[in-house]
Amino acid sequence: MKLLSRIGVAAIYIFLFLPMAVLVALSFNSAPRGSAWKGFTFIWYSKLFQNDAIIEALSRSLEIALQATALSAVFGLCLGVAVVRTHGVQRQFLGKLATLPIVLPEIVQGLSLLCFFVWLSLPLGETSVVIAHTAFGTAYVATLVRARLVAMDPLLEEAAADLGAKQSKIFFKITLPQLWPAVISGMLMVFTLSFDDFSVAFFTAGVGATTLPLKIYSMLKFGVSPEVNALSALILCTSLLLVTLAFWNQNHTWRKTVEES
Amino acid sequence: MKKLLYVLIPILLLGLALGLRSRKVDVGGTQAEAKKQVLHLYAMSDYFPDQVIKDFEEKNNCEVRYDNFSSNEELLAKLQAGAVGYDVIVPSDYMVRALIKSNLLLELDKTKLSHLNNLSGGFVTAPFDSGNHYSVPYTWGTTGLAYNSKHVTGTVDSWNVLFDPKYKGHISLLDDEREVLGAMLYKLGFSINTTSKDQLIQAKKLLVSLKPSVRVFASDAKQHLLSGDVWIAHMYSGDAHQVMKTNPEVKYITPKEGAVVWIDTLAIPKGAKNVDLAHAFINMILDTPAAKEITEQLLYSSPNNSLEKKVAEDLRPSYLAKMQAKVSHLEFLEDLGAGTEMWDQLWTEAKSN
Amino acid sequence: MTRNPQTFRVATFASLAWLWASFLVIAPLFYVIAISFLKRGTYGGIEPVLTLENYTRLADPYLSGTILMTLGRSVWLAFLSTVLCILVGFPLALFLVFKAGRARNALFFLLIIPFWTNFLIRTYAWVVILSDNGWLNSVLESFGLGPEFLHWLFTPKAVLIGMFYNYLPYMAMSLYVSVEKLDVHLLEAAADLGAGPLKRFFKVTLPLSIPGLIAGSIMVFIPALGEFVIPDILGGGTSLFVGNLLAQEFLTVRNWPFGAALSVILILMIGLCLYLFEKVTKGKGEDLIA
Repeated sequence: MKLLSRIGVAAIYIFLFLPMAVLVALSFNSAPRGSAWKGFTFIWYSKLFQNDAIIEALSRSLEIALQATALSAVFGLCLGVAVVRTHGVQRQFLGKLATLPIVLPEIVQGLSLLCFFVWLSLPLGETSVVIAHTAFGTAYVATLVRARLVAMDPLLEEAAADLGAKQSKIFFKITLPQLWPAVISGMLMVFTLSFDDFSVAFFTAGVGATTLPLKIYSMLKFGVSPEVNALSALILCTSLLLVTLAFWNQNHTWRKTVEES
Repeated sequence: MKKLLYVLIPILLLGLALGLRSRKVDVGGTQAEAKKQVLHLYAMSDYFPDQVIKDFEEKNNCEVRYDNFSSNEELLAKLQAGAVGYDVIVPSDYMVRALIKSNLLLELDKTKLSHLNNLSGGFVTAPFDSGNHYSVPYTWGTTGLAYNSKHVTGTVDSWNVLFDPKYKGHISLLDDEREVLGAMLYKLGFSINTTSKDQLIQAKKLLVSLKPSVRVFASDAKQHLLSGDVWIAHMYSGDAHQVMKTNPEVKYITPKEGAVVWIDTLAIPKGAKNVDLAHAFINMILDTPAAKEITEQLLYSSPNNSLEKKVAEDLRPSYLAKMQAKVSHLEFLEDLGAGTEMWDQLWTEAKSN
Repeated sequence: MTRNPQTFRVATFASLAWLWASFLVIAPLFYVIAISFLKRGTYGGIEPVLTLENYTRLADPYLSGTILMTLGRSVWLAFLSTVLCILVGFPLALFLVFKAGRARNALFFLLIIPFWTNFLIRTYAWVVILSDNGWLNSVLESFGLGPEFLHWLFTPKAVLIGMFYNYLPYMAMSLYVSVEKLDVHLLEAAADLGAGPLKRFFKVTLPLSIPGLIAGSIMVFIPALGEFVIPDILGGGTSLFVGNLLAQEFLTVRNWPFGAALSVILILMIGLCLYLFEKVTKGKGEDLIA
């Protein structure tokens, strides 16, 4: 029984990593198509780095992700605080609205924002994508901030208030530093979501706003070149690296906290 | 926590740097670099050879940003939705007419198009924009069937081959409402520019009956043909030639019931930010070196007279008239005007069936 | 219990929050609803003429049939994906929590890696694997099963595989978090009272995991309803799902009013699902939404 369950779990993990392994393997395959191995080569990688359009799309994605992350952090913080610290109907409403972007399918968000932009006669371009990403990014940051705020001990704030500290001082010196990790995690999350996003950008992108996923999509639909495999392998490795760093950091801090206590 | 910042900060800085670079903010760069203009090009994917774009960027000290759409309808949708700021777009014949009627195109300044005289005959008098006031022909070709002769045997000369049960599950159709419904209309013996509800409903029913045999709707089935997933592909002539170059077993025909002949054009939409640069781009394409590179790379037929003696017979502008004289079954797609809505609705129904 | 101290003025935060909410959540949805009652222009676009035709079109016998088919197909696909994710994700979560021991953290880490890699690329990889001359068939061929043995690409099977692959991490993570909170002592007590492993599972583990199952299902079923990229890339466009239909209506067919009407219906369906989910969890004492 124990062996069976171990095999089963191993099979699941193999399944999870198979696509990535295949792409990485193929990115070194000298055959321009098909899966038959024809020899090892770096040629697709060198072609990739010469492909201006892809590099351009990469910059676009980074730019948009950065801007969306910054905006989401600000609005997300406000939303998170507002949802926890307001009362009554306002609190309920904001609470439900805050979860909407997380729950609604991306296509609904994308097309509703498109409709909105058209009504406003806002020209589609890079800004429209940034705004669209901020729409859902804010909700994600707010969720993390809210969880942190609820778990936070209000004792410190109340003590400060009793000691006569000004309201803004209480927030900036006591509340915010405790919320900061949540904001940072939120920012990381929004950055990844924005960088990764296809559905929303598909609807709201306009002039000069071809993000990397949009570029990859048109490459997939029109004449795939093996450069896509090389690009995929690189993105996979980068993600792997970032997740490893984040996880190692989290473990490290946890262990430190345990050792210090 | 601090460690996380060490990871975040370099990423943020990297992103910022890339962002600044592409915005050409004058942060110590040269004056020339800071003033670099950007030409926004909107066309199907892989429709301009890299070399042509690079040459233009160098000659005019500018940057070309190339966004993609996958169909004429998507182009129209994005323009209607407010994607203002494209400098050069590549609509097909019937779409040019629709764009002119929707008041979305800028009238061309012919004084800036010195090489326009490389075009003549049918490429100047084409009914969708006679006199080239709003558009300049870029490539032309036909839409037919590309098939892998290894799997597809016998005479292939008709749309009927798509309905042959032998090939069920191995055919692909273009993801384009005009082309696909048009093919069905041809098979039924109707015109591809009909607005008769009756005829269109018949075409739709035919398409629905064909759907179970269709492996994939792909506007670019090159990879599917080459990988063997598809044996018969509804395909544009240029794409077919590219496939044939790689795999000589693939052949291309225009079915006898009728096939679409089309002209893709370059146009400047209203709201273009760099009108002069856009004209310069179009003018460069009209000139021999760029036109030759384009034809040789893309293998689409050229409307450019200066290439008459320089390219294969079926890629020459004169071939259009020759083809039309030889075979009567070639038709241009025309703007349907008020009939567009009905076509759109029936396409939706057929595809969601 | 958390108190709610009013130690600083929430007004500024609330106003910015409402700014975001009104512009980026309420207004867009409002415009979608509004557009669904307008007319389409000849070439697309929107004409400011009020009409119910986008909704009455759905009453048209032929069209409503195909739209209902599309909706039904989407619900079925989302449902299958969710069930598959539960069938694989639940045992996986249980294994991680109860049987993995020291490897637990590492295994969890491995689980979330696919989640952080680019979604389009993960889906594209399946095109490469499932193609007639793709990886899977090459492997099968080397085992002696003729060339091009499986024709899975561009069929509903490929779409389901893609959906399952994409959503499994969400379900597994949600279940893991929920199962982790399980009090082991309850299980020990049950064992002490003579319950066998199966009975322990059905009487203790399963009921207590329901909040996690519900949360995971929400995270899978609802986005899956609106999914259009996976069917587009892996399905070949022959079978339309709601997401594809919406994308087509807005960006190809350009019938925005009709697309908007469809969106409204989709949103209502989702609202219904959420309401049902919430009702089921009400009895379990966990507040999932707000």
